[in-house]
Amino acid sequence: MACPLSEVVKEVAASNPRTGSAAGRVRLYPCAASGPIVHTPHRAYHGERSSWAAFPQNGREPASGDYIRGVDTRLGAVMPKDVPPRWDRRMQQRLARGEAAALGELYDRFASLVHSLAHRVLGDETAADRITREVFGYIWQNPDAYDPKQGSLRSWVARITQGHAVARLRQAELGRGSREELEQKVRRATAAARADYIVTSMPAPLRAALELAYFKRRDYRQAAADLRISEDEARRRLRLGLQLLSTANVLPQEDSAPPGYGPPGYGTPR
Amino acid sequence: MNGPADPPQEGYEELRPGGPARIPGPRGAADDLDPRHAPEPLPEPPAAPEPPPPPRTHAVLKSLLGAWALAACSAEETQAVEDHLTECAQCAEEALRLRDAVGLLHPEDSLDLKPLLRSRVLEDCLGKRPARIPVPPWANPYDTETARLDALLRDFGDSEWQTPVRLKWFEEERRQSRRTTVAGVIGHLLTVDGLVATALGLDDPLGPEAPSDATGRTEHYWSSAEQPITRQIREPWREQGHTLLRTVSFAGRGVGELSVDYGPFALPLGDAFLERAFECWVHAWDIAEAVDYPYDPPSGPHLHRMIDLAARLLPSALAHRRRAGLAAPVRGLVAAGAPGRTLHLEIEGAGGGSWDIALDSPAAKPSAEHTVAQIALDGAEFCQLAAGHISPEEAAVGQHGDREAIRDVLFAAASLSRL
Repeated sequence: MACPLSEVVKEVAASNPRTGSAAGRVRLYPCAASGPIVHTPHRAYHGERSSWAAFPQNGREPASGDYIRGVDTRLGAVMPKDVPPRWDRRMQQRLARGEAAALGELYDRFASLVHSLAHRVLGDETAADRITREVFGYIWQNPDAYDPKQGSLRSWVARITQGHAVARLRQAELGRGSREELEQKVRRATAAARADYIVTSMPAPLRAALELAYFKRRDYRQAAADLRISEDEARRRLRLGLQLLSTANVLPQEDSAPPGYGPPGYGTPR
Repeated sequence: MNGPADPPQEGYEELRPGGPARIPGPRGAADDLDPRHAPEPLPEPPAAPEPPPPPRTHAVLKSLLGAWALAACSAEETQAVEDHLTECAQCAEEALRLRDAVGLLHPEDSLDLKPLLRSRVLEDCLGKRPARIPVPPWANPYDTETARLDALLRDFGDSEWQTPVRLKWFEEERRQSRRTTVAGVIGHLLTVDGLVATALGLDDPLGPEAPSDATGRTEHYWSSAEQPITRQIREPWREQGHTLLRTVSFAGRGVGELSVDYGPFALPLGDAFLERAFECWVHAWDIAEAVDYPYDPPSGPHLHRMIDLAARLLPSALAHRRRAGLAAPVRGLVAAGAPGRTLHLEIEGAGGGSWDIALDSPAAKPSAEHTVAQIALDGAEFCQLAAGHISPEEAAVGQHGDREAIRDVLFAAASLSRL
């Protein structure tokens, strides 16, 4: 993934989420496209700054002891959506109609996502190039396979990419070790790809906090000062960011292709 | 949520050093020798049993779990969290999960998508399922070049968008230049692309009152846009580019002939798209140079079309210069369509080829028998010349024949450039 997190940091720093008007609209720049990782269009976060502050974790504990579920319900509220679902549907129609210009736009929006996810799974650039060709070929030939009701186009594209990349991985690794080792490799690669997807889709303020704490080794007080937010808020963002990320580790049902690109508990059996 | 200046909350920030409730841990007496550690005498002797700090609530400890997993809290908080984990299963489960999640963070791969991949993928797709609504072939170079520039811009940070860029062109018989920023260049591309948009009946990005010539538009934009121009310019530029491609895909066959008015001259739409592709590449090159990044020339077939456009424009550029007294007068009248004096242009390298340029008038027919001069130059060199990046005197040209004709053609090529 070629999005320098540091840029995101700068952008967030430039706009205090609690007072700045830009906060709710902070884009996941420079990855222009993003979508929710949760298949809950009705819960879509529409980029109002109140949504950020009104996030239910603020002062309220989840009712049950099941934390994963508690987190999941909040994900829908927190994942931003800077591409309206209308764009997704329109793109699908244009692809179905056989519009070459739409194919170019689709590539421009998703190629880096597809390529980087494939690279994360396969660890090889030539293989990632090949998966990129396959994925766009598949979408161009099967635009109707996308169901906007199931989630964003971005998450669908990510799912297809993962499916293709994992299939390639299995093929490449076949006979190289025990079945168990292969499965472990697949699980690891899948979680890594999901994590990448989550990081690029997560709201910029969360990314910024994680970036400071993890890559820059700032403690949460320093991160709070850097981001000009309260320490309370800094702790909250770090925790939430990791919670989102941790959903990548939750294994989908054995080989239940396509592996869920939303957190479990949302239509995906756990 | 409270701001940094708000009073501490949840009873735990009061425990920070300096607060009244802070009880130092079992430290050696040496600390007391340091005045910074003993600003005020403690009410009790250090050896006396200390009342434990008020226990943090479950909620506070839980809020620390993320910071804890990232090792981003104080040693004392770490200890408090870890003590809590031994007695709270809920937090322990979450702590484990968050710590595993930290393992999924990794530095970004700085992996560039190869620009060529785009054409390959699209070609591949269209081979599997031909487009019902194709992009006209003359618009392909524009599609490719704008996508290439956009990919270059993708990773630019705020500071790179403000990198100074010197735009160069050839005017009044010498090289001119103008300083702007990366963002300013994209604004320039957006405003001139706007001429094509208005010709197609789309909205003018500068609004209805904007000047109608290419240079005037850029000046108007640079002087009226909110300064500094920022990365925000990328999206409207990209969106307009996509809209242009989409619009010409749906327009009928004859749309390529539609005239696009640049002010001092006009081009048919097909050529205007090529011209825009050329300018996009040239400015992408300027930008890449400014940020010290490599940038390849367009693919051979696209470069060939661009060179072809320049070669086709040369006779009228020559005539224009002649009228202005900048080129040698015609040696003899040639009837329209009749063969006249000709210069043979040989372009080497990818995208190269050969062209015969009519010297006497745009209406004259170039002819091999009437060739008075030959020049040969590299494709990239020719494009640099036509872009006004190098002056006609410094272009590396292999030449043979009428020197005046050669000089006139080289100057005419440079005169194709503008801001």
